[in-house]
Amino acid sequence: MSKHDGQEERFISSVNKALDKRADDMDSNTLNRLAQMRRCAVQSTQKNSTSVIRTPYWFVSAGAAAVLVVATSIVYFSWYSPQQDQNRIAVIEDINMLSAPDELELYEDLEFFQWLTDEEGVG
Amino acid sequence: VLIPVIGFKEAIDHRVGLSEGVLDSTQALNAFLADVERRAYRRALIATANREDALDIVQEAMMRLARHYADRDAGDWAPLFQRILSNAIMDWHRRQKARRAWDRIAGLASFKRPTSEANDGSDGISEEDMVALKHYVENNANDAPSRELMNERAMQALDGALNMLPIRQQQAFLLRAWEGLSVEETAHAMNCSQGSVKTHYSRAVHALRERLEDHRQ
Repeated sequence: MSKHDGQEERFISSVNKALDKRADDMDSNTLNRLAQMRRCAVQSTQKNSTSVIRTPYWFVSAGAAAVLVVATSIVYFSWYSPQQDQNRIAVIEDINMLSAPDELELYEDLEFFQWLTDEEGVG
Repeated sequence: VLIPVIGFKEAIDHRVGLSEGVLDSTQALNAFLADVERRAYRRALIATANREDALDIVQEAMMRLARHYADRDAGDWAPLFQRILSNAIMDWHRRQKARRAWDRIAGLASFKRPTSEANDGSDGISEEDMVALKHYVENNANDAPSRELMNERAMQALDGALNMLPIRQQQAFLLRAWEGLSVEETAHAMNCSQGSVKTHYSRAVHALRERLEDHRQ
């Protein structure tokens, strides 16, 4: 080993000792921060490991779409049930009747005659 | 330090208990990070001369390792972590460079490097600190209590001297000389050729020694 190499080795050794000392003499606040960061990093791996079996995004989207289709179907079929259709037709007829004031008297007479017929039938 | 003797990776494995197979992967990762965090922080601090930036860099490196490489063979963590840390430091350096360039364009130029902001000396290290550093380097075996203050100044001066090195030289020196990585491992960590590592390292040693010689006269 040449003299130059020996000097360089001693120089590097001294610098390393100084750097080691700086690393060893770290203040408690910095050490706490480092420990906290380390815990977060380690916890992130645990989250990642559970995320391996987590529900994929497409599955959530497909599920939401299916729920929407079912809900829409339920609303559609309940809204358009045959009984409601009859009710709606009856309502429309009433509206037609009420919207024609000229014929209202005729309709009332018809009801009277129907009642009269029923009464006679009973009598 | 055993690292240069038995190899960096093996030394880390041994210290965190991986070679004995006594830890599960989470405990092993925790032990590994605990083992490297101080030195990682010191490396980042020397590069940035800013405590918060250094902590951010170490946090980023820890998170990246944990998220992307936790499932890898634990023996791979050491070189991966060194590479991630080096990349994070280089990214920080690039951002600072871009910011300085922008400041210059905006007429708010600050041509000083971060260390210069913390020190009054034009080169970022005071004359007294440099003398103390020289003294420390020459007499580190002598641990007389009266040298305590002198040593503290020497430490600060050393940080400053390292911080003044170009970032590639600085990283090559710290990885080779302090972390005990081989030329090949350093090249992997720095993502450059082995020839570049040798050049950066040689220039770094030369610059540091020359700086000390200047102050010795």
